[in-house]
Amino acid sequence: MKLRNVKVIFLKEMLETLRDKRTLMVMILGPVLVYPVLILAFSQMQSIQETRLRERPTTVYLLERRSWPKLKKALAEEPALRVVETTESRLKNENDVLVKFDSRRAKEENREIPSVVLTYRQTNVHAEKGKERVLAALEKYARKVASEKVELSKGERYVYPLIIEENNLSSPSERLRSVLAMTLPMILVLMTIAGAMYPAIDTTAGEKERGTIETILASPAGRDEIVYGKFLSVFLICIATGLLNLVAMSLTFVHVLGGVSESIVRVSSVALVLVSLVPLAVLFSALMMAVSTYARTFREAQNYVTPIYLLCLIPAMMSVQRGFELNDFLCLVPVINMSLFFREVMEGSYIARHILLVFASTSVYASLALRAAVKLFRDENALFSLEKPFALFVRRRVLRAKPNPSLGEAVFACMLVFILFYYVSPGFQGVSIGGRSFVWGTMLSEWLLILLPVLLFARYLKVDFRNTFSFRKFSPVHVFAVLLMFVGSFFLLLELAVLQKHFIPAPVEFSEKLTAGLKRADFWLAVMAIAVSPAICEEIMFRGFVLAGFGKFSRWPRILINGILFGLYHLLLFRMLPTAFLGVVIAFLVVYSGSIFPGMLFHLTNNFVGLAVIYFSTESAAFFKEIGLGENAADWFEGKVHLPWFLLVASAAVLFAGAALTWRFRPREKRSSAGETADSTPGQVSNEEEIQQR
Amino acid sequence: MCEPMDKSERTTAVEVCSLCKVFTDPKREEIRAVDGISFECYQGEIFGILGPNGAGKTTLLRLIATILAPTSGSARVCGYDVVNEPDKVKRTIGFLSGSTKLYARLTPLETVRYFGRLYGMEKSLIKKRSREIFEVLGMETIRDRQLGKLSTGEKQKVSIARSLIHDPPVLILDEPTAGLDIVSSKAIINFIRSARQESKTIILSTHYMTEAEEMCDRIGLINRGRLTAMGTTDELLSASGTSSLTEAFFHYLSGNGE
Repeated sequence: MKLRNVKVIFLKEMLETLRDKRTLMVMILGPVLVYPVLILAFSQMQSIQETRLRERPTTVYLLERRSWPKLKKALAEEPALRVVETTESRLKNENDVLVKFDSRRAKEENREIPSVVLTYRQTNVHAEKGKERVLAALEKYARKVASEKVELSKGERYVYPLIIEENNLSSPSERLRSVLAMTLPMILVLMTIAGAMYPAIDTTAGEKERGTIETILASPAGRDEIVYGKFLSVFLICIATGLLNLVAMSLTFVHVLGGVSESIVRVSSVALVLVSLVPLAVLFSALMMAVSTYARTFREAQNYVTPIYLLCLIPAMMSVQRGFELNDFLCLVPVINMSLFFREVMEGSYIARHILLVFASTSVYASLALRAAVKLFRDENALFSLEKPFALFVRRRVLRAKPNPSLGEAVFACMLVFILFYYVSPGFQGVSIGGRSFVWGTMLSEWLLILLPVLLFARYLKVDFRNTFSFRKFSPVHVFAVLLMFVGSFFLLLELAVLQKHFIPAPVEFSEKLTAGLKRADFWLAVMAIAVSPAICEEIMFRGFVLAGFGKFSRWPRILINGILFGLYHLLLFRMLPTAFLGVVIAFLVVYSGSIFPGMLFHLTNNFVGLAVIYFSTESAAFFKEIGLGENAADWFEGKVHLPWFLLVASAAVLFAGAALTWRFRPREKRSSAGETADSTPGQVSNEEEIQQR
Repeated sequence: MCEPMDKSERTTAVEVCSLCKVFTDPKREEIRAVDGISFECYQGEIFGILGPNGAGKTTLLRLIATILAPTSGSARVCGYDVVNEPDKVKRTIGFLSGSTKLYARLTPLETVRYFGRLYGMEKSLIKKRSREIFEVLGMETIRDRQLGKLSTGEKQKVSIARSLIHDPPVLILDEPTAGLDIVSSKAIINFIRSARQESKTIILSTHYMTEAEEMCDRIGLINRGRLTAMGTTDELLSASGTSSLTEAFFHYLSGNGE
């Protein structure tokens, strides 16, 4: 690779991008105008609101006719309160406050001040303000009564009524800072990513669409030089967008907030944020370039990139979530780590280890994305778009039979199943997990919402069922391998569930409801719903259709992506880690055994044992005790305690042995006479004859 | 055919030897876009490639230009192998096709400079070369206007300037006059002729029979990825027993040439 060429390409891309009005709009006009307008409008609205609040008196309804004349008088004397006596115990107006004196308790306890019940609507600013005013008036009265008492008692001991004064340690600037520290990272992350979006599409898919890609390919510039040159320009624009946003943001605060801003916009923290924007910009520039290289037109690329952007919204918003703190594990999760890290920096409470982890992990992801972009740029199929995009609503008659679904079709199937499962399945399951029809609902969901759509879709696409769903014979050795891998992964899965709790704790009621829902059903019915149905339906979906759709990927990315998709499909964040691991193990089995049946067997065994342990929880606890696993065993299954390390090491060894066995007895691939072209679907082409001979 | 032929003393500039390109379309099976084509071009000749749409002309030229990698077979340009020395091949050819468009937001001068630098040329040389080419093609007036605002003919001139900047001994032109009006295509044809005067080797694909007849020293007919006939216009006419190139074209297309 010649750096000179990279530089030439980079400079040309920069020139071209800077001449493009659309990029400049996003990059410069966006931050320069948006922040001042937004913040000024916001702060002015707020001050208007506050004046209005201050000016408007609160109407207080007093639900008390006879007693406490002094207290009533005290309230009525307050200028900001307008006291109205009422007999109705309901609030008529949202803005008002209802006050009720509880004389009975005061008399019982022989107090001179009644208990006061305030009724108001917290979400209404006027009512909230009114509540504060009433409280202040009550407190004033209580103090007055107390001081009178002291005078009356003439030196005798007197118990004061409890008077609480708030002493908020955070200064207004600190409070503002914490609010800003929560919202700004999200805006900054999203604006930076948006900066990369347009140039990334323009330099790849845009170039394809305008037909300039062949021109550059005919020049002596190497493909990696082209990609790196383009990447550098996208990255620079991305980071420039981030920088402009940061500067505009900082200046707006200095301008609007004056002195207060000094503690918010410290030079050191701005610099640190800027530095940490670098890996984020690298990651998204590379990722968006890789994705748009796959598209043939600008619009198509936008269709691919927009979901990525929307997906980033959720993790970016994590910074707004109070109590969601950065920990070592979250440092490894892309986007979430960035937005939480920015918050730490802005709050001034960052940890050096986090900086390192966030940087290292994001750099790793970024380099992977960049490698993918270079790889795609070397791929003639991707570059010249020989593959037709997946077309929906095409008459089936027009479609040709083919061995496998395409990538787009697999992704579509995933989305379809996710959506069906999310919206329809709760209806089947009687809304909640503890519902009566839970077991039946689960079973119906598996067959009607997963298996049926996938089979119909596969039939519509005219894919080869045997090839797509890996309906192939397998070696008996693989059955043994499944058992080994099951035993090995069993305890690892339990440990993963424990680890998972460290960053996203599972709600306690979930597992209780699940257990209750299961125990209400007949055991064999539960086996059908929880073990048999998923083993068939989910396997056909994930290790059949989806795995075949990702056939163009090399083996490990294919297995890992399958695991992640399987984890995502379960829709429960707190089960993500174990289910993704399970998905990876099963995908490995199916890819290397060449058949879906070992995968089904694994899934069946895993779910059956898990179900049995839950269903017979009392019996199983006794059983564990008997075989010497001790009292802890029951806790392991509830994910309460870590498993002993020797058990984990032994499990990993057994799992590895099973995997090695699967690998060793993998079916040999058929070498086609067409040479390199036949190699496009690794793991799909198996030699059946060979297995039969064995 | 792969052995050097001593038909004349002329040196071979481009040598194509049983070149194959197979695309795997997931919906269909295999498309043999170029299916074992062999031919030679001599220095200073214009070699025309004729064929219907989808015959594999563009794929063949892309293979020679190293934009695509061959499935099997080989090709050499000025002695450099397209598979092993693509970088050197790229430096010796100027490639122009219907799909080598230009950057709309750059000016002709910037475009030519950009490619000159990618060819590793010195700044002073780029300046000298671009001035010459712009003068020959009569484009001094448009050199600082953004390409997006130029007419189709003007754009094609810029493309030619772009493909000539590094003064390549071999030119590969894929339908250079497609979609141009008579005035513009006349200019292109003049340019191709003048390039031959400078003893450049030119491989040209075209739809227009008259263009092929007028310009090409030899013509190769391609159909379904195979070379069905090759020779001078006269040779083709006499071999097929026809009186015009168009007739000869249909004669070979209907499979009589096999």
